[in-house]
Amino acid sequence: MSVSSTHAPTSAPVESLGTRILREFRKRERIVLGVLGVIVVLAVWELAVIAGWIRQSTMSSPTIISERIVAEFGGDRLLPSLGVTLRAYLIGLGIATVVGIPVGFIGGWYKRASYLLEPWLAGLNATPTVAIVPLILIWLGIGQTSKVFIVFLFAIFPYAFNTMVGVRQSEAEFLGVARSFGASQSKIITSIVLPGAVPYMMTAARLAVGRALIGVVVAELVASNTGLGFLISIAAGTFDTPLLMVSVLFVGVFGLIMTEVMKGIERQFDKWRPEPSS
Amino acid sequence: MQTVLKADGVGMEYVHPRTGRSVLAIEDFSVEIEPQQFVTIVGPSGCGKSTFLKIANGLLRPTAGTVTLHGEDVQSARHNRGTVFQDASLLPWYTVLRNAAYGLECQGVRRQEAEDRARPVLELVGLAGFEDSHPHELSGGMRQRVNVARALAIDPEILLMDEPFASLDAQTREFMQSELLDIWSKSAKTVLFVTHQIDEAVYLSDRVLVMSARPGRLIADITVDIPRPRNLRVKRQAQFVELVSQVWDLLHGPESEKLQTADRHVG
Repeated sequence: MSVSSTHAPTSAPVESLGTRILREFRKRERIVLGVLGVIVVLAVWELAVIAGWIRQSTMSSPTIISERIVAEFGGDRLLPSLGVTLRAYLIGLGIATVVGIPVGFIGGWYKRASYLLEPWLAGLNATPTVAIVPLILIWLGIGQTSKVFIVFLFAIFPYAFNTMVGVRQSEAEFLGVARSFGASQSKIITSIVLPGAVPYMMTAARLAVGRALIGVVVAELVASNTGLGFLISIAAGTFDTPLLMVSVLFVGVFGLIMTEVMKGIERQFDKWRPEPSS
Repeated sequence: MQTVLKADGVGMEYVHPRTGRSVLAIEDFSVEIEPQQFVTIVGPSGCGKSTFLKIANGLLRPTAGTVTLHGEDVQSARHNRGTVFQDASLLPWYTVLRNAAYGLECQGVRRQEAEDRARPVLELVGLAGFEDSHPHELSGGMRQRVNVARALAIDPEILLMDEPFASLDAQTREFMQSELLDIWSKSAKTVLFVTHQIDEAVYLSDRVLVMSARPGRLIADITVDIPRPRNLRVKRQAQFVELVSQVWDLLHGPESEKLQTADRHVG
């Protein structure tokens, strides 16, 4: 900061306005181009609708959508739907975390357990979870329970798999230190195995957050009478394009927020990780 | 004076699990280490010196002979041995203080008490003020100090050091050697140190045990009577140079060459 301010008076006269703008732009290139990209697409979209190149009924338009957002916020559909979706999402994700990590730990730590678990985990993981959804509906019917279970199914595999790998990767070097000082099995687990697996669990959490969102939307699209996914499906059924766009937008924003939350949590562990892996 | 560590006719034979062929790593190794002695084992790589350290640590049971610590079988769980590892092997998720306390924690001491006991040891190794740092924030030499502190904190009957300075650069290594002598004189511990660096062995030790290439046998037990305290200037004294070349001859001289060729023909 101080360097640039002391240099400014001497370099200002030679620098033209153009080069200065260019320099400022280069500094903020990332934000400027990002915002610009969004604005251009929205503007072209709006113009195309006004000019009649695309049909308003199928594509809606940015102004109509923003008006609709305001209107829906006042109404009694969007926010309650968001609440219902959020609830199923968080419960399903929470159960997946609480079940998936121990399952992964057991599979990673006890060799025989991993022999037992592995065929199931590998098979279920290779099966697209969407394909199991109809089966869940036969079992649990339509409603909150099946929705939570579907979210759970979508989210548990990353947890179980990554934790298992993380536990198996425990540094032999650290295990040797612990054993040479006579550490008990439980001390080894709490001081070496689990902390060492944390980065793997964080990766799992990041994957699970995204997969759980897919899960909740799929569940609501095919088997629900509430929630954002349900809103999307009735909007599609009634050709209410603006409502559909608003709902999709909310799902997207929700996903973005969850991703940022996960990044924040991951940063908590950077204290002992010199290079945060992205 | 009571002997701290006593090895009597120790042999270690490994059997390859698939081929069934056996390899003799150590043969008929006997030694007695007195209290507060600094004893170093030197030998070519693969001579079994690190294996002997593992036996002394109770982690491996020798296939022949016995090792006792204060007259009792070394494998007894009651023994208190502090190992300083070749790599610092610090847990990256713990602070320096928690790492120094880790040996105590492994022995079942509660965290608070372990940290209270580790604090003065960190001071002894010159790391006061770094308690709350994490290992990745330290230099290689500082990490090795934590490694030493972790072993000293448990107040061991014997300190076992496995080439602890091998991964440091030459300058840091020499500095750490002097620091170690300082720490050792203050802590009054019995030390068994393993290295393949002859000058390091002579500089640090009261006795240098020279081992032959595989199978590892004790070929000389050399007393280093250079007065203490020693500083790095010792390394230029005639007596020091003389001892180093004596060990060098034992390891690389015609006698050992003959042994190595014979070994190659057999293998």
